[in-house]
Amino acid sequence: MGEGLYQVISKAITEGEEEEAVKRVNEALKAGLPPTEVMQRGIVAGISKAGELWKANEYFLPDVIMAADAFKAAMAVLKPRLEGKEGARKSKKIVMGVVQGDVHDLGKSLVIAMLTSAGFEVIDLGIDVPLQKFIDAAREQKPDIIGLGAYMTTTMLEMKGIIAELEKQGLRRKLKVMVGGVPTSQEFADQVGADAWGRDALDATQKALKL
Amino acid sequence: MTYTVEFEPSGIRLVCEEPLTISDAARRAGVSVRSECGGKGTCGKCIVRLPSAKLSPVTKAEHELLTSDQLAEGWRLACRTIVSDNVSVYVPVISTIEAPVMQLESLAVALTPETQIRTVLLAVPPASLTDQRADLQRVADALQVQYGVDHAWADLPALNSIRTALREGDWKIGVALRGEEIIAAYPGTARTPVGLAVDVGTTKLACYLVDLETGRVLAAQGAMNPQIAYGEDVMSRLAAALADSANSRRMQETLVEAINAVAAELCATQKLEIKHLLDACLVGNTAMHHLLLGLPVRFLALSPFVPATSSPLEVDAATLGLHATPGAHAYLPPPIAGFVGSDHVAVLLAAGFGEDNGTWLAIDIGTNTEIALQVGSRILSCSTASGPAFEGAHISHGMRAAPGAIQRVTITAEGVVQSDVIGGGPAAGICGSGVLDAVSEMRAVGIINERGRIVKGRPGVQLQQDGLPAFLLAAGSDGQRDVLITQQDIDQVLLAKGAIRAGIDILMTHLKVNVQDIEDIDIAGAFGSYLDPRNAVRIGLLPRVPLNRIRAIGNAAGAGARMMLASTDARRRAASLAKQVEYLEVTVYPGFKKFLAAGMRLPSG
Repeated sequence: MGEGLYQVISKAITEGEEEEAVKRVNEALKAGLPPTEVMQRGIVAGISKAGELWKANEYFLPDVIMAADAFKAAMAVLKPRLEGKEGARKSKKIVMGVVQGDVHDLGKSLVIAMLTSAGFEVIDLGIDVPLQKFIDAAREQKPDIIGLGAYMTTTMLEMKGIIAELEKQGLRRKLKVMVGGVPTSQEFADQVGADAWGRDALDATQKALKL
Repeated sequence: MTYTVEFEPSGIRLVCEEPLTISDAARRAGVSVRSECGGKGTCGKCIVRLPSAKLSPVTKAEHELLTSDQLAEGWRLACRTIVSDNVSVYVPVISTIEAPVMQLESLAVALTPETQIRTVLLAVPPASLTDQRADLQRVADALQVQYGVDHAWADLPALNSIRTALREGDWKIGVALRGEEIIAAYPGTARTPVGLAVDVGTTKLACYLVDLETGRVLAAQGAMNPQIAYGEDVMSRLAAALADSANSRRMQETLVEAINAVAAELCATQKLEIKHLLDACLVGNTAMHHLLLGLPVRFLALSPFVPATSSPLEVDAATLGLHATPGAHAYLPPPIAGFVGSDHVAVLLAAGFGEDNGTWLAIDIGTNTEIALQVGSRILSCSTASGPAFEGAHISHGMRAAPGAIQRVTITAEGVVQSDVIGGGPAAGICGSGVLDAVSEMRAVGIINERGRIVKGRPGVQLQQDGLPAFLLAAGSDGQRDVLITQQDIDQVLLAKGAIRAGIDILMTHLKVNVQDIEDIDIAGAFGSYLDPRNAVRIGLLPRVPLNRIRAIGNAAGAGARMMLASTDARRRAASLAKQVEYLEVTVYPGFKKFLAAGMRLPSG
């Protein structure tokens, strides 16, 4: 029974059917299936498939947005059941946030979905995140990577200050910094002193895996 | 050591001392080079060719945006290439800022002109030893007797002109009044009172010389907004202003210079001089409004995007640098929010919002698209970042609606493409309305599927270097390149129309309006006049209303500016409209992502 249900969950995520995904995850938990398996073979498999279809130019943003939303909703159901078990997974940790002054959530949510599908543990600081919150997260969460998103020409300038502050506080050596968002570029990433630039959610995930 | 940069084919030369990017050199030399991304090395539109010696090394941005063939042939990005020695730079037509096709026409504006401004002719009793009244007193008394104007007065600049005009006109004097204030005097004649209405667009300026007595447009002319050298979109301009406060000042000056230049030409067509302008009304998005007034823009650039004022302003034209009559004012109607400016107020005024209790949509399509929905006594507005795809930018073979642009596309069931090129010559690229048609037609015949993917193997479909498909619209001849629609282009269109449609749907959801309730959709702006409503509905840019309810209203912002120039009542209505409009920030509206995803879908047929 487990096998079939994992596939149903996976398919619901890939096709962006949020209600179906949530319903089936609840069903799986009620049936006593192990939460880590529900996550890996159901939810993560589903979002990974969506990522592959995107990469192959069979999916475009609306499909990925819907899949990422279904993914987020399904993960929210599963999360309380995973507590305590995640530590054992030894996955790399990423702190993600959209810089201050910028309230665009979409790009970041896609990156988070793709990163999680690739096995990262992602801590989401949200949008319009002040500099200090990034610094605090770097100190308290001890992430492997900090991901900064900016979606406006005017807000991407904030990134430089954040990276400089990490440097100043002696936190920069212990972690990598990735930047991304519509107006950014590799050249911009080099200028502000980031370790990597993600062109889109797929590219960001590929590069995060290599850091 | 000095060196010379020579631009081809114009032959313009610039002598420089320090090393410069080619973009900077071009700006200084007055050579037009496109700069859509504001010189960040991301748009790839500023390609130029030059000998490789003595140049800065090829940057990462150039490796990404140029093919290896292009690099081998000496093509570089102007914004990324630094020169420091004598060099000749070839600027291809494709990299120059195209001459704009201006849209100046708009709805016929119904209004009764009634401004504070009028001109009158006076016969003034000559000064003598038995009548030693001061010049101003003499004129004020004559105004009282001949026109019933009580308490006429004048400020310093007008005093000056009264004194001269009285004597040059042999005590016959034309006087321009704003209420009781004399703002100008002319010897011998009363001139037709004229004013200037300007729609300050991010890309283009539309200027109108208006007879203030009749409200009639005497002459109209468009020009490029010269701030374009600091970036093609609003955000790039704001970023330039944030990077260096000197940029704000230069953007202010260069904008006003351009307005003065156009105004002088408009006046010349009526045998007038720019100093005869008695009034002005300028509308624009909030960034243009702030830059024009020299207000700080930092807080427009960052969330929560608050404007400095949402009240109308009437300032001395001279403080802005306008070369109007020294005593003339300039009227700036109120912006509504950070991304909904006074141009939107002008559009709503011209479209008749607030006059009736109907259910109407007004859409002004541009890089930022402003949308307003009126339901009964409520008007809800939003702004969406639709990007410039419908202006032909960020489209690989995109161009503005200028000669050489494909503006209409039809594709037969067999996949045969018929296109209509502006000016009738060979196709050089494709403009917004052509792009919209192409996507709609490709979807209709199945060249793209419901997800907006180009289907490989269909006739006309070819693979690009990066492995993504593209569709051939027009084969190049005589050394002209092919005009293609690439997968990336379709994605840009989907993003643009998704943003606009999400805005429309969120407004409708918020005010609980159904599609069948909508009585009228007004589309403002140049793109609105060229787009095929059938295709706009077919690709889901607009809701599925009967096509006769979709109406192009042309440059409605310009029309609204003219109304406010010539009518005090229109100014009052605009100010009250601006107060009445509720602004909705769509990006933080619940379910925004789902609205956006739904907006990007391509419905079938």
